[in-house]
Amino acid sequence: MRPVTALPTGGMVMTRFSRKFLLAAGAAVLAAGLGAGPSTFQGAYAQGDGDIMVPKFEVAPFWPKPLPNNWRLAMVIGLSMDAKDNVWIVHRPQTLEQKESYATRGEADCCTAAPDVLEFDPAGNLLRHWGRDEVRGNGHDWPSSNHGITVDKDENVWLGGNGAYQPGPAPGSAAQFAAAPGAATQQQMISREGGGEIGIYHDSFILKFTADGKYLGQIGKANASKGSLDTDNVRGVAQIRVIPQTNELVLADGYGNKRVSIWDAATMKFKRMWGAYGKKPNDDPIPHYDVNSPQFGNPVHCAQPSNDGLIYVCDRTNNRIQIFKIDGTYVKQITMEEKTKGDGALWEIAFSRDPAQKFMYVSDGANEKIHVLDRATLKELYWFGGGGRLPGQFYAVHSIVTDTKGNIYTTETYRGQRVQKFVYKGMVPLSSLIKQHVIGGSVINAGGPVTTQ
Amino acid sequence: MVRRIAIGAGLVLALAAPGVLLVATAMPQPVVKASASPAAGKPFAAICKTGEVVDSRPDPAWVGQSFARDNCEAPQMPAPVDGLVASREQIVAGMAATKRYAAASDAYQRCIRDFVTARQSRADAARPVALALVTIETHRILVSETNKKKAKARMDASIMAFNEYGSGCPDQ
Repeated sequence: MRPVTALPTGGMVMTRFSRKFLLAAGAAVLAAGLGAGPSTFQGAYAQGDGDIMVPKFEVAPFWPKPLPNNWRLAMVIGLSMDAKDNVWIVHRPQTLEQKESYATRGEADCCTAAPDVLEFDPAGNLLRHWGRDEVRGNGHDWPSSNHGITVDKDENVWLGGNGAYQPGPAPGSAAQFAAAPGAATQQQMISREGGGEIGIYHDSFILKFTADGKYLGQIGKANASKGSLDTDNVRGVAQIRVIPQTNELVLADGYGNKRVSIWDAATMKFKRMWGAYGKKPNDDPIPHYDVNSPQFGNPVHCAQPSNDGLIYVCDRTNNRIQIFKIDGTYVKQITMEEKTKGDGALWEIAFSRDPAQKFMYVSDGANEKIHVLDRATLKELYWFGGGGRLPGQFYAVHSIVTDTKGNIYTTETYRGQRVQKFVYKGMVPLSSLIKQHVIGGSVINAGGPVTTQ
Repeated sequence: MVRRIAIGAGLVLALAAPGVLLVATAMPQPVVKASASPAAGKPFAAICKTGEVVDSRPDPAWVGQSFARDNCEAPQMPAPVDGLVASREQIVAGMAATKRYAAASDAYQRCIRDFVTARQSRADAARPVALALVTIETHRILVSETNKKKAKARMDASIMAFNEYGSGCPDQ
């Protein structure tokens, strides 16, 4: 038996007390977390034995419910949450494969592209849907390649686009697939414009609609962009978000420009812009994959405002996030998955819904993970996901948002083509989460301990 | 006598067909010594490849003779980099080479200008500066500037090709 005198008596008592206290406190936090949602994010830290409490998520495999009319989702490249916790997505109907769109041409029952914009309730029921046909039919612009959706506090719907090329034939139509083999390659080459060359760029605008799809106006015009210093047009906007404090639109601008641009949400007038490190944007070509790049690469893929007046910008192909004040003052940057090539690692960002937004979730469409970070320290706590087709896994995980219950929603582009819901399951000790290894279909931190920045 | 004939012929050609001259020396070479038949047997036509004019033949003899002793050496254009297959390190090296080439081209053009200015300052009624010399030296500056821009455009295209892999646009 260990001699009692080996440790100070008071210390032993305190240790026992602390463990009991922590166990009770931990249980209380867990119990509260299961029912109380994001409020439990606050004060969840500093648990016993150096462990920390982190949010746990589990995929909802049957969310959303099947779409009607043999509709299919193609590349889903935009996601937004409205004030009622309804989920809005935008996808690219023209990116269905020929064999996914037989029904469009009357060749088989399955399938045809769903309308561009769809709204789901939290249970996964489809509420509203609309798209290009109505808008183009009224003579308005529509992106040649949809990208990014945001529903603002007044339930206006904003859409962006990243198509350099001109709009093609109707999605799924015979004409779309009738092009000669070389034609697709040519379009690919045009669409791959990586910035720096001031050529014609179709999606030089963003659009504003009512929730029912009635056109309300736009910033910019098709094919009008003059580059990153243009104050009338945008160029391949990847994401649109609203800064609530100022009612300004912040644009990840984007696939053609190398800047963040700010516009008045009411008047749609230009207000300010900045490039990497808060400097004047520069369109000179510069190679990707440099965490110290003096410029943003293309695409500038997210610009996510936080409650405390910061904007988090995803410089996707440079594997870094730069943080700014809303006036464009550079604050700092973090780098993650620095060795990632291809599309780059850091695609979009969402925050937990507690007032302090304690946790930050980063979608990583190249490594197929959702990184969970402590927003204050910017340390990575863990990741979940992994590449694959099962519920909870990812192929090109693209967009990410949270709802007021603490749940996470994600979309996938390329051949991923879906939207997934990850239900918040409360706060748990990080060590226990890691030990679980798999939750739903998601792998948790496979291959080793938690990595921190 | 032979030199006078060569300069005269060069002047006539320069005035008559400046476009041809641009084509003829699109790739500047170090100062070429006169030779008996520099381009004998080869057609004097540009090779056009994706909008680029390339002519790797040495300058005709009369060009070499006309600005002999200016001591200005044209820099060698850096080798193109295929952005679709290059590594990031190769791209960065190519960018550095292009930057060095631009600086060397500027120095080369300054050298020519200084040479012509010096000649002009020494000229008088008895010994005027040959119009052919001015024409051809100006032409060499233009070619150098064109090549400098061409090298930058080529490198920019390489960077964009390299970056295209991660552009995330549809149809990839």
